[in-house]
Amino acid sequence: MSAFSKNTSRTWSIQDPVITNRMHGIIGGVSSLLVFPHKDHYKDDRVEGKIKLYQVESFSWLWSRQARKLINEAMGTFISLQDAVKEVEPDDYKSVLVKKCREYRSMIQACVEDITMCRECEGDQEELTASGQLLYKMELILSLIEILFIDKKPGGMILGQLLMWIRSHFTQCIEKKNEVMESDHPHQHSAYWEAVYGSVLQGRMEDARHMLSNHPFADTDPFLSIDELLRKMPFYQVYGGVSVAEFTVRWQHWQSECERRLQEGHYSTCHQLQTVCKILCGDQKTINNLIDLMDTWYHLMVSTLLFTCPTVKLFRLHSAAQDAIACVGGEQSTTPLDHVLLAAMEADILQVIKECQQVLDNTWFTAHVTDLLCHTMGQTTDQKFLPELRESLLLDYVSVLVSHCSLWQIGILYLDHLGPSGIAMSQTVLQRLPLTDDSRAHKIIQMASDRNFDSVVVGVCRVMGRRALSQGRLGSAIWWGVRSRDAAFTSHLAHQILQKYVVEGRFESSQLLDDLGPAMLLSDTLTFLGKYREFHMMYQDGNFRDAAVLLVSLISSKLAPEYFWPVLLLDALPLLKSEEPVISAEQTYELMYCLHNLHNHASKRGKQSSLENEATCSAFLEKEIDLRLALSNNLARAIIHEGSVDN
Amino acid sequence: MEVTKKYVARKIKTVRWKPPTTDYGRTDVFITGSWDDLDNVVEVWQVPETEEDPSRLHQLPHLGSVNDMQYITRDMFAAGSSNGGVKLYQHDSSNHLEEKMSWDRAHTFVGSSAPCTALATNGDQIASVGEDGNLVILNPNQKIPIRTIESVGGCSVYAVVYVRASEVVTANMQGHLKLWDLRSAQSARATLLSPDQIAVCDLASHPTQQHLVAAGGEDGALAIWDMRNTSQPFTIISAHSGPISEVRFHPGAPEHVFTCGLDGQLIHWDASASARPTHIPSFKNTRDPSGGSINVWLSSDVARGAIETVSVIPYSPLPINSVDVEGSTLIAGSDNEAIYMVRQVLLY
Repeated sequence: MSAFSKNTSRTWSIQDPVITNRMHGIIGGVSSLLVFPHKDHYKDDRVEGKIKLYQVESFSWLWSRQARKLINEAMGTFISLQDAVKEVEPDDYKSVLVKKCREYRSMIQACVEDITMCRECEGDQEELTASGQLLYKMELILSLIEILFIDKKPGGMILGQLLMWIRSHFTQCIEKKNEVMESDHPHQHSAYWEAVYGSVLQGRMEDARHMLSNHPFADTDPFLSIDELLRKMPFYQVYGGVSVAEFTVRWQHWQSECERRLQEGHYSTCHQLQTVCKILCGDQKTINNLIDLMDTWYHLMVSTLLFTCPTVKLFRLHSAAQDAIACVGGEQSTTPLDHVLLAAMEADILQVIKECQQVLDNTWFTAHVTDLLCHTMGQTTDQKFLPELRESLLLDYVSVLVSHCSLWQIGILYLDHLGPSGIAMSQTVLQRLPLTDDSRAHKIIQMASDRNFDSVVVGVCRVMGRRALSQGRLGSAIWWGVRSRDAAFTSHLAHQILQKYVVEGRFESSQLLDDLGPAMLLSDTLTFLGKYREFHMMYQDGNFRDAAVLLVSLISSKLAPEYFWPVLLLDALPLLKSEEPVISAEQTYELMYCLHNLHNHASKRGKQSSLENEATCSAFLEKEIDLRLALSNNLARAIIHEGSVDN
Repeated sequence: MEVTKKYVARKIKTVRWKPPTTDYGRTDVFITGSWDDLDNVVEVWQVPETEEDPSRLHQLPHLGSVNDMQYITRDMFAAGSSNGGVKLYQHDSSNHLEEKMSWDRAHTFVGSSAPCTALATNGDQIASVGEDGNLVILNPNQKIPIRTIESVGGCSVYAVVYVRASEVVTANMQGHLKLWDLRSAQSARATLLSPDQIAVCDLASHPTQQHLVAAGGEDGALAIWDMRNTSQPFTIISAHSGPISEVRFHPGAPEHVFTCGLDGQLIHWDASASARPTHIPSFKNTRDPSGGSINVWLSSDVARGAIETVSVIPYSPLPINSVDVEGSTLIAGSDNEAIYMVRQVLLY
């Protein structure tokens, strides 16, 4: 059978003959599905073969070893970003945001390095390569977002930053240059002129000049001329002190000089130098012809702008991008990554985020970028959808995290910063985490109590207590009951212990009951249990008088559950029969009253009682006669004794 | 003091330094055990001389979470697992790990296995405790445990430590410390109580003064017990805001204790200020080394709680599970899937 969703139709089939035509599925966990063959009640089908239950889980790239480091580090940056934004004035946001953005980028780069190292050792090569490409794309997009949205320089002149962006992501020309310069005769190397063109296109004038100076004809006129032009090219510095207008004048003067020299035929002897000069003059055709050196339309765009319009502002970027795309091959050849970059250049945040979701199959990137953008743009009122989008994407990200056996703690930390829905999800998740052993339970309880989720603490303690009880570990069960501060559960446990005592005649976990301390007061039954144990201790120590007082108070205070009265009365028997009267007349009356009640209840319930009760009842009835005799004897003795003392 | 943090892609439950090859030597190799993952591992790491991060030398898969690891001799250590088993590994000089012996059902509940929570060793035997409440004594050469002391009452035991060659103290979730004499056939010699059913999560014994035991509790308080006077702890000092996960005395400078907890803090307790020199003029007029005849931990300053506490690691949002210190380097493992390394930890 197959299943498909609306947008991306991916299909998996389960190879099992039993399950064909009758598949049924239910949600089995945070992101797993349990699938099994469905039995139709109305048809009497014979099922051949074993019936199996399949657990279908989604696997995310986020669960690979490389991504784990990214997730953990990103958590630290995310939380410090949320805290910083709360403390700092809105005007100072920018420096914080730029810093955090760079932290994210360095994390991604560290991840890429890890992958390169891993590739040399072991691991699934295909997977590692795919991861590497994914991370490269993320870093590319993030650095562009940093330039266009977060680190906006005053004046809006972005070419300098774009040039740095291209330089750091397209390093072929540097590699070629190194290769060329290391060879014996650089100028004869096949890649020599390509390296020169590449350097010029990226604005690396120093590198280009260095290479040209190695040419044997470096002293000739054409070379000297081009060297001068390269040296004198003006570059705009944001804080350089030169105004935009003045820069424009200088630049145009420089470019007209380039054109003049070209027209005057300074480079007619060397057509490569002519190409270089044409590039400097901003000849579109020449630049387009060198597309092979640039690979992508954005490189082409930046290089074109460098030599045609260095004072380009953000709002012009879009049309320049369209031109570049047209040169490269038109709309058909654009990839999803190109769409993201294009959307960023159009300053359309929503589109950027949407396209990112198409490019990347995991939510890590979109969630963190939306968070960054939300804080950047949060002040302007025309981006009202951002906070909600941020919340929704982060919740998606967290739901992937909490479905992993190890990353749930990080998920909970993120939820602290997502408002009321985050808190609600946090509570729900903490309650549903599997409790594999004590230390995990303690950690969940610690996280829940830090966030004041009392119901979660109670819930976890109840589960652990119940489990301990079913394994016969009464000590642990009581501890969890006490920890949960849940009177109902603790009473239940205490009842279990008392009932066990009634059947077996001894306390299994006497030590823990001795030292309950103030926890005893949590529930009446537990208090009774503790006091009863105290009675045992007193009796064993020989402190009969106090023991008797305690026993009678236990009986008369009605703390004891009804099924336990026979036991208490039977405990009173040796005290009644002791040599010295330890039970006073008053107390004897109490005991008689209790016996009377018990007898009435027993006879009323006689017909309906279960087997166990019958056994205790019958044992009790045997002793009843004995008890009555002892009580009346004691009463007589006590009255006499008290009477004589009075006298 | 510099703190470095290395992300290792797994939550670390236990870190232990490999004992140095000579008594006063240095060690630059440590092992870590992970927990709560689909595939847990025991790994060997080396700390370089320079300021770089530790590098991984070897990795071995481990079934179940690694709840505790202890070195029995310089090249053998035991690891306790959450699936109830204890395994013995050899850690040779080429930093390669190999499993030598395994006791698979050391701890069991009725019908299933119980996690092993802590290990202790006296160099000869291994004492293991678990959530089933049993204390199991193992001999590295025998498949069958030498002795199993079953608890009465079924409370999980969280910590165990040797105070003498044949005496062991265990601490359980109710906060009870019990002193067991392994030579005798009877049960605990003394039961110590901690009020209010506060669980004791870890125990550490003083390296030289064997009657001194430090207990880290669920309420974040460190209790110092003197085993000669077992009616109450010598002192209880609070510092953490959540349960303490591990307590460690510095092996060379025992007036320093390190604790780490679920609140993400790693605290250095420094009692050296209360160390006073002996006024008895000895023949050579030398001063006793601190931690010697006058035990700083039993001085009145400590009893008052006048002890310096310093937070070593900057705020960590997730629990720090384990700490170990050797020489002047401290390592800690946390749930942030990171190993912290702090050099020059004793010099401020």
